[in-house]
Amino acid sequence: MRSLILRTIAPIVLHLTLIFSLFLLLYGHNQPGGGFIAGLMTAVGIVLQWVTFDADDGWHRYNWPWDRIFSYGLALSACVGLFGLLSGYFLKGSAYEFNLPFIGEVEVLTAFFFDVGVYAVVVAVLLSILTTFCDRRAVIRGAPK
Amino acid sequence: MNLFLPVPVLLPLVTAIALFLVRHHQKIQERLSNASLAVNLAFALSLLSATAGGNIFIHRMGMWPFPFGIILAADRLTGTMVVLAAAIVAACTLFAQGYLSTNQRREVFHPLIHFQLMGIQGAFMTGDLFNLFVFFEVMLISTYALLAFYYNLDQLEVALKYTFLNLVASAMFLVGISFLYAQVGTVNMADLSVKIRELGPQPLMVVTAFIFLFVFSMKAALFPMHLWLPSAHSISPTHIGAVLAGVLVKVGIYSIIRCAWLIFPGPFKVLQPMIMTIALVTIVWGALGTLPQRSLKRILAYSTINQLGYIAFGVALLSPLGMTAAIFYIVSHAFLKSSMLLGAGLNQKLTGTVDLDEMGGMMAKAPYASALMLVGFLSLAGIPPLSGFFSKLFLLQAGFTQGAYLATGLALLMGVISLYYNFTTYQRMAWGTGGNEAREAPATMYSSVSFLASFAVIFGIGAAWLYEWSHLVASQITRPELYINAMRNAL
Repeated sequence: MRSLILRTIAPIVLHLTLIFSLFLLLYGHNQPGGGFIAGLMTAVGIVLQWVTFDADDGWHRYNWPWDRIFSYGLALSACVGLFGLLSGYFLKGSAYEFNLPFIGEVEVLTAFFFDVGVYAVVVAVLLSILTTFCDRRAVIRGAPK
Repeated sequence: MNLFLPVPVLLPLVTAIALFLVRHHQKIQERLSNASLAVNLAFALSLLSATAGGNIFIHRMGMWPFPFGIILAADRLTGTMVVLAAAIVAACTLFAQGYLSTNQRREVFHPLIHFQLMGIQGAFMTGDLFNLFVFFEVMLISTYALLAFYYNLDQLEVALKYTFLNLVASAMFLVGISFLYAQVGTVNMADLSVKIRELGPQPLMVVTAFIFLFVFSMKAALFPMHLWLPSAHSISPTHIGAVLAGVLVKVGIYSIIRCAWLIFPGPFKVLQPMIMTIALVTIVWGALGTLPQRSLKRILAYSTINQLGYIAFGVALLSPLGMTAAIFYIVSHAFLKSSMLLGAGLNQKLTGTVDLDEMGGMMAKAPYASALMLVGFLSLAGIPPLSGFFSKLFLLQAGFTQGAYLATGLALLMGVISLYYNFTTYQRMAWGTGGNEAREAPATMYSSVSFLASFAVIFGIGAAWLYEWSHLVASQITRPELYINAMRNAL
């Protein structure tokens, strides 16, 4: 798209969406938010870049191995579930508290890592579906020309 | 056993992820997949033997208390169905490794079939209606992709048809769940059962039960919703068709059984005439549908519809005896029909066609393969001492005992048509002279077909044993209070 306004705004919006999605990801255990919605938010930010800077340019910039990323994300979530099984229940969450210098008390929940896995799956699946749809080389065998 | 209950869900999930990551190393992928399927089958068998004593195992995921959390539960029915799924999917995967040539996108087949297995086994294990929906989706999404496996236009059409119909069904499923939640405020099956009984007879609950009946009969391919099945069986790759006919449609039947006995016993009593009508129309439609077909796989597909009608007939009797017959039918039909579809695939590999008129003379060209098919056809036609005879016998016995003379008589009459189509099909396939030369097929294909076909004989000769087991299963599910108490007292 050649709109000057969009080209100026899009990079700024990308940063805002990324920060907000990070906020949702970190915030989501007991409050509204979480890995799924954060992943959607990030994917939307990146898709906006594709729309703005033409398919080819935006493509090369974000042409990461999405298929790999979503399988790692899924593996991470499954591992967190298995970690819960150690204490007798699948998907059982547990919390650990650390005392860090300068920052103070930090609480780490295993649910957070589960969320990170979900986040990776959502972002990567959405983007890999979109890349496949936009891929001009994909041809269906037997389809009428 | 309580601790290990998530294994049938987790093992396929972890395997699928691992298989996707090693998809460029075909040998490793194949070995890993086989090992995982073997472990899964072994676990399913140990689950079956653990549930045999009448224990109901419960696993509360995330340690959430009873009506709120996601609960996995295993009773005898679950054990039986999980073994069915594990054995048939394993045989079909083994078959596929011979059936697919190396360039046919094998690398995505293995992860997808494991995701499908996860969905199927999860649907059997879950004790929570919403999670039943989730596992249905896991199962369906991988099925959509597997149906369009070769990527050609015919298969895309089938996959699209299946996808659209099932999207409608899934939407209705969600609507049904929200109807239920609005009325009783829970989605746990045991809790639902108690609260629906407390609520007493209500028209809206009957409507809700009807929605669930509609959704599950879409999966089980009962009469008005059977349209996807013939083309899905005949155009999709054989091993996928065999999983569809053997296991996937049984998930629908399984859910109907759970609804009829556990969740909505009252409303299903009201709906009984309707279910009975659906079952009978399905029997007739499936039997008549086979007559004009030329393709072997399409005949088998219509025969599946016919047989599903019989199973639904057993469920529709809503009695312990009918339930016993239905369970017997489910088990014997699952092995039988998947063996026959794989046999059709074997014939396709040998002759390059599924058209009966082009096939001809298989008895002379490939004696062993057509002998395997003969066992299947004889069993489907209901010739003793094979499993098909006993499954029909017990069903008719249950029907007549209950006094449903007209309906049972119709079912019996349709048995004659099934006798006719099974014999003529085999005649056209095996006798006479055919045009095509027989080619070679790998030994793994023969062994997986033989493995599944052997159960037609085993369940025929050991019918008393299987009947005993079906009776045990039925006696447990027809007393829902056992299931409810097990969930309430779960630790």
